Amino acid sequence: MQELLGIPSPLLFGQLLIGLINGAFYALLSLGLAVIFGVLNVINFAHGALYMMGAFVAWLLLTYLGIGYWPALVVAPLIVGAVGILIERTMLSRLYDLDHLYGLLFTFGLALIIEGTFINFYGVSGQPYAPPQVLTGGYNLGFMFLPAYRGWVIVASLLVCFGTWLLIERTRLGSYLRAAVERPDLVRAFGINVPLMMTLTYGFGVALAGFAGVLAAPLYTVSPIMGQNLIIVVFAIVVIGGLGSILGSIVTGLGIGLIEGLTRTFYPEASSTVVFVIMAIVLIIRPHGLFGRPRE
Amino acid sequence: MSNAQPLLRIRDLNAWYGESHILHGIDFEVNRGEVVSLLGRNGAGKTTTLRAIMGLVPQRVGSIAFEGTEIGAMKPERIARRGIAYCPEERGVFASLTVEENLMLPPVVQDGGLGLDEIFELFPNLEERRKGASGARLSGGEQQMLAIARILRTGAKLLLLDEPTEGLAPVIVHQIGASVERLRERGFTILLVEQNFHFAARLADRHYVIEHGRVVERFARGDIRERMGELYELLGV
Repeated sequence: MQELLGIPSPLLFGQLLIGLINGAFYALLSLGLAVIFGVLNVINFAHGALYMMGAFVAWLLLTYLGIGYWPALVVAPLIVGAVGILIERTMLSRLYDLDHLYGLLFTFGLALIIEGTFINFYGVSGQPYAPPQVLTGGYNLGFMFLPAYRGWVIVASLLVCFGTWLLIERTRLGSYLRAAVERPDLVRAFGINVPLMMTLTYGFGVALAGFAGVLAAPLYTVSPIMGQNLIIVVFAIVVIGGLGSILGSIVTGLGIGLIEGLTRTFYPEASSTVVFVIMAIVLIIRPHGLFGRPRE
Repeated sequence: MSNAQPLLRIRDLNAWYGESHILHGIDFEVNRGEVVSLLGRNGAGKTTTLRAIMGLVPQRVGSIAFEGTEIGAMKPERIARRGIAYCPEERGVFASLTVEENLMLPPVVQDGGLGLDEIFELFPNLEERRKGASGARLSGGEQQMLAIARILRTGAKLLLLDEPTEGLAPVIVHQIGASVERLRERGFTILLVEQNFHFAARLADRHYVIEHGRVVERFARGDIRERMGELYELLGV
């Protein structure tokens, strides 16, 4: 068997692939958090619960309406986005004038309510969700075996991340968003409806989480608590990348996934803590994150 | 002009920031095509008056009529859409936007705004800097020009300029003065807040002096020479 640095190469690449998959989810979720934080100044603790909701909506659509994976990939994020818009309009928007802490506490409570509701109806054991027919099987790349669905998750996540980056950094709408991050009052005084933009931004940010949830459904079991473990790591990634940095959250998400994969290969004991060690180091050396700008 | 309806008419405007009562019943008018200045010492309430007109001070009461329509309770985005544009004292050039994005940011709200060629004729420096990667890299004078230039595109009829000369070199102040003069000729109505009395005296048709959140005196352009002593005393020059 081939070896690389004393590790059988299929094992190494297998772990790197898992790392890349995790990184793809980290990137999608931290991107949504970064966009929401940038525009609304809210740390969205409900992000994990809405990711779970995306997976559950896909499962419910299939189980009760016979709607399959591909339509669900579009419909479920739209539904989660609509739920987000409802949350922002009816509740979250009332907290903007208060301290940040209230938004954080509100979304944290909301996460408990959403997860509690799903646990009440479906328990914590989880529901299976089969990948679509065309993405079963896989490819032998010579140095490793790539399951087709995993390859698709990486491609889809990168496309959506890159598309979001383009939207924010290269379009007129994106320039409104970036300006509103700096001076929402002045942007309103130019005739741009910033409150509406904040509502749509929250809807879009949580729709990204819903999209990640649908992508995750065939990989992991669909369970009400699937967002809980993930979201803690994602918050660490947002801290490492720098709050509010779009590119930073994408690059950091993928990077941390790969580092976790490498750690799992070379020193498995540290694989679940390595992200927090990196976070601590970054906080000491660059408190505003690798890609963040210091906020005044 | 005396029987024509003023473009902007303010009556008994009061405004608060939290607990502090800043404006105590401001009254004044701006007629179509005029340049009017608000003078006064630091903290008199000049900037708050502009921000209140723009809807950026949530706690405000009194009447603000623009083209005969009451806008005193409207949100900032609706006020802007009626044709009022605001250039803040701190200029508000966005660091995360390129120079061109900054220039193109405010949406066109009405017909009759300046085209880019006219804007670059007015501010030639901006054309050179157009491809700049960030608005924050411009000099203070260029930022001021950008902040004025971007609101000329929108078709707004009334421009609120808050201390456009603050902290700028005399040559730049002169250039901005010439631009304001050109804008008046082009039919813009301008409400100007200034600390630099000499700058305002050269440009404005009428002046209001604000003290402790009230209009305490008014001067027409012709009065200034005779009443200079009185004015200097009010402004503490």
